[in-house]
Amino acid sequence: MAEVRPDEVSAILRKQLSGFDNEVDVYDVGTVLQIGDGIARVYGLSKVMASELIEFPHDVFGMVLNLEEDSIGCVLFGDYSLVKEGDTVRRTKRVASFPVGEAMLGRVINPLGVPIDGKGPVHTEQFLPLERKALGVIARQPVKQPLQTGITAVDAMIPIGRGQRELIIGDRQTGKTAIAVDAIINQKYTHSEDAKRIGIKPVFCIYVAIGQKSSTIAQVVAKLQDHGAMEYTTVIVAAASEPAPLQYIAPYSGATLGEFFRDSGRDALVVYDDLSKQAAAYRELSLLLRRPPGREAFPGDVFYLHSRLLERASKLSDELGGGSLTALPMIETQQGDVSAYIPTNVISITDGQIYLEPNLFNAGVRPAINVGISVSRVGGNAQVKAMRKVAGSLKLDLAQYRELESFAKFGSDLDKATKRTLSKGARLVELLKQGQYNPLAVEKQIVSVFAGTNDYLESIPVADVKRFEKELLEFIELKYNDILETIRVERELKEATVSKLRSAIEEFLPKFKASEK
Amino acid sequence: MSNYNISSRYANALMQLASEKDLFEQISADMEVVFNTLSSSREFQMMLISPVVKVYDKEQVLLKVFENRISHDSLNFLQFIVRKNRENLLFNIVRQFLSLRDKKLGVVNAEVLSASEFTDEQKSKLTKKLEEYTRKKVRLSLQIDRNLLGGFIVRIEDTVIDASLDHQLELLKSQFMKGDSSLN
Repeated sequence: MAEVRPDEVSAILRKQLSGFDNEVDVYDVGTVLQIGDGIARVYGLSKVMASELIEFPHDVFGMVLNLEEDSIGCVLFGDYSLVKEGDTVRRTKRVASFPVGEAMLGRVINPLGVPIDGKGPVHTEQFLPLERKALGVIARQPVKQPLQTGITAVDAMIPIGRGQRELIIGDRQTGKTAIAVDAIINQKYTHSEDAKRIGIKPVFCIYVAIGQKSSTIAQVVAKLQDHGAMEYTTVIVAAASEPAPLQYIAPYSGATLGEFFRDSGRDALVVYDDLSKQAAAYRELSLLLRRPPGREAFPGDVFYLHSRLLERASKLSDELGGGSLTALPMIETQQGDVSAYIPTNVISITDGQIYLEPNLFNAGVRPAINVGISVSRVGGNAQVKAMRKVAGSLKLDLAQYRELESFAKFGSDLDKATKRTLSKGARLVELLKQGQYNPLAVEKQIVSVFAGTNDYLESIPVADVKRFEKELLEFIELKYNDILETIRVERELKEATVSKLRSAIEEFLPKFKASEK
Repeated sequence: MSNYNISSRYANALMQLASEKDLFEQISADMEVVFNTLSSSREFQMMLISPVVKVYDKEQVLLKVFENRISHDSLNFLQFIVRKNRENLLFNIVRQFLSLRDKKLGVVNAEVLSASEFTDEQKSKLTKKLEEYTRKKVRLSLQIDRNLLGGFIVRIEDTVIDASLDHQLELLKSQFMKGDSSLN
C-alpha cells in the first residue's frame, strides 16, 4: 500500500474546507409529541406544507399528511424506534419526491429512490414530486397505438392501447402477475432494430411490487433478467416487511418515474402489483392518524387514492411529444368477490379489466381469462387492424360456446349446428391457451387466430390443437416468412395476404394429419 | 375536543371580555403574574392537574395565592375555570392568552441562547436586526449555554436562526463524512 504523506492529507482537508461557508443557518423546527406505529404527531412546524418531507434525528424522514391547528400528523419512512418523544424535527422545504432518469433502468429500488440491488448508487439528475396533478383534457389525445402483451387471448379480445389503464383482477394464485410479467417481457421486441424500422416506439417498463413477499419479488426480477427484460425495466419494491407508509407511496413513485418517460415523448408501461395491498397500507396509516373509517374501515378518500394515481396514465398530444403512460393495476379479490369496495372502485376508474378465474385456472385454461366479463373499453381503437379483422368473431364464438357448454353437459342429443359450435369453441379455447414467459409476436397471433376462426381446426383433435398451432407457425416461418413479414409491416390483412395465408394453411393441413400417431 | 381547542376557547373569551370592559392592560398584567407564578412552581402546577386534590381546595389555594396580587375580574376568571373543572388546563389557557396578547400588540418572543453574556449594545443591535427580520416588536429572553462554544441561537416561534459555532462544526463534520470524490 502506498504511503500517505501528511501534507497530502492536509491538502485534501484544505480543499474540502475551502468549499465550506459559515453562513447563518435558518430552519424551522417542531417537537415530537407522540410517536408509535410509524406515525408521529409533531408540535410546531407551523409553516410546513402538506406532503412535505421532514427530518427527524438519526436520518429518519417523514412525510406530512395531517395539518391541524396546533400540531401535524406525519408518517415515518425509516426506523421509528430511533425517534423519541421530545425530539426536534426540521423542515426540508421540499415535498416528497423521487429521483428519475435513464439510470433507473435495470435497477431494483425502494419507493424513495434508494437502490436495494447492491449495484451501487444510481446517478440521476432530476427529482420529481411523488404527487403530481394528472394532465388535463387539452394535453391528451385518444389512445391509438397498441401495446402488445404477447398473450393471444388479451391481444385478440381485450386489446390494450398505449396510455390505457387496464385492470388485472382475480383471486390469489390465478396468474395475475404472470400476465403483467409476460407483458413486460414482450416489450423486448419494441427495443429491437426491427421495431425501429417499422416505426414501433420502445416501451420502458416499471414494475411496482407492493406488500409482496421478498422471495416472490426476487423470482420476478430473476425471470425478467433471464429474458433480458431488465435492460428496459425498473423494479420498485415495497415488500411486505416494509412499513405501511412506504407501501402507500410505492405506486406514486412508479407513476412519477413513468411520467418522466412519458413527458420526454417516450412510451412507458407501469404495473402496480397490487393495489389492494396499497389500499390496506393506506387504511392502516389513516386509522393510525385517526381519520374516520368508512366502509370496510377504509378512509373516505380511498377512491381518490386510486383515481389520482390511475388518472396519471395518459397518452400525450402530439404537441407535447406524444408520449404515453400505460397502467396495469392489479387487484386481488377474495373468493371471486368483485363487488367488494376496492375492486368496484378500481373497476370504475380503469378503462376495462382482465378477469382471471380460479375455476378456469384449475381446469388448465391458462391464462385463466374469463373472456365473458373481461373488457377493454378503449383498446379496440388501438388494435392492429389485421387482428381486429380476424378476431372479430372470436369473442362471439366463445360466448356462444360457453352458453351451450352447460347444455352439452346433460349429454342429450344435440343438433348438428350446436355440435359444430361446441367443437369450434373447444378448439378456440385450446388455441388461446399459452404457456408462461412465451409471448407471441402479433403476426403469429394473427395467423393462429385466423386458422381458428376460419374453421381450419375442425379436423384437428382438441388435444392436438396446441401442437398444430406450433407446427403451423414453424411451417409458415420457414416456408412463407414473407406472409409474416407483410402482416408485420402493413399491420393489416389485404386480400392478397389472406389468399396466400389460406393456401399456406391448406398446404400444411394434410402434412399435419400425415404426421399424426 | 383537544386540549388546545378548549384552552383557546377560554383564552379567547377572556380576551374579548378584556376588550369589552376596557381592561386589556390590567388583565394582561394579571395573567402575566399568574403565568410567572405557575411556571416558577412545579408543585403548584401538579396540584392543579392532580385529580386527587378536591376542586374546593384548588379554588381556595388559587384565591389565597392571588387574592391581593391580581384584579377582581382576573380572580373571577380563575374561579370560573375551576368551577368548570378546567383547572388542569389553566396553565395552557394563560399561555394562550399571553400569545393572543402578543399577537394583538404585534410582539414576538425571541429566545436567545448564547455562549457568553451579551453586552447591552449587542442586545440592542440584535433586537434591531430581529425587528427588521420579523417586522414586529421583539421581546428578547436571554439564556447562556456554554455548549454552543461560540455564537448564538435565536428561536422565534418555530423558526430557528442558528449562528452557533457548535452547529457550524456539526455541518463541517457532516460535510467531511459525506466525502468528496478526491478522497476515494
